[in-house]
Amino acid sequence: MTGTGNRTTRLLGLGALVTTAAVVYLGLVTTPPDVVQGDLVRNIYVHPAVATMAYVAFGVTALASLLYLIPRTRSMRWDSLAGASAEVGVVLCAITLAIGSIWGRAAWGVWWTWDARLTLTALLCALFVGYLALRRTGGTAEARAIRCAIAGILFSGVVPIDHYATEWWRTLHQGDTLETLHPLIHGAQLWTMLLSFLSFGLLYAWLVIHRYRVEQLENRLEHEGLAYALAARRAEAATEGHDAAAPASVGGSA
Amino acid sequence: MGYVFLGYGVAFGALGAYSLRVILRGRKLSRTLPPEERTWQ
Repeated sequence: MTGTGNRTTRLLGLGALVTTAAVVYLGLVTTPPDVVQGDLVRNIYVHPAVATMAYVAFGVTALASLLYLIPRTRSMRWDSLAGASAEVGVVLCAITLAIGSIWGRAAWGVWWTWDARLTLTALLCALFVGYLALRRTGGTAEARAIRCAIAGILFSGVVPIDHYATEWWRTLHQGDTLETLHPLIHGAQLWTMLLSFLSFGLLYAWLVIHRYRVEQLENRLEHEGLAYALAARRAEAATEGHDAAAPASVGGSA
Repeated sequence: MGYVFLGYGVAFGALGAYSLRVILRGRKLSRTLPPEERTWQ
């Protein structure tokens, strides 16, 4: 059987699928509209969970990068995990911006505004797109991994600033809906929102495991492709040397 | 509800498309490995 799946990923995938279906059903059908926002409140069953998982993804990138930089724990596996998590994080961050923009158009009347939270989220997304571009630059695998690990740690520093932006500055974006002790929502809305965190958490884990294995396969292919290309070039050079030497020896004997 | 459906469509559509891309890429690349080297299986 080909592919990057196994029993664990199949279980994770099934869990993500079932909980996502439940979130969509609960979010669109059974939960009541909000007294202030009306049906627009249904956005909170997707947007905060996706944004949180983007933060988690970039946090995992920072942690894996740190483990790569520490000599005692240095392994290309940490680099692969950092890259895999960053790519999933960029996808989640882009989705966060897109659905946030759609909600903003309906609630605020504009697709975009240079609010602190929105601007920092866009910056975070752009930085990690840059990180992914950095992963495709040249040099040895080790040199590239070190560059990317430093960038991954630095760029992840935007995550806490982005998270606390609604507390540190006056922003249009609303603050936390789920506070630890005093959530602003209750009943079906609260449970659906909590389920959405579980759902997107499972989806993130499933995606990262698959993407990590793809990353390792790509590294292997790149390594073997390079070794094959070098061997072919050496063989070609040896043939050219042999051909160049042959007429000289003929000429010498004449 | 139009904006709500649009938001859900964008989110799950993008996640579905990305998931499919990762799975298909993994399948294509893992074919280059002999079965005994697919250590995760």
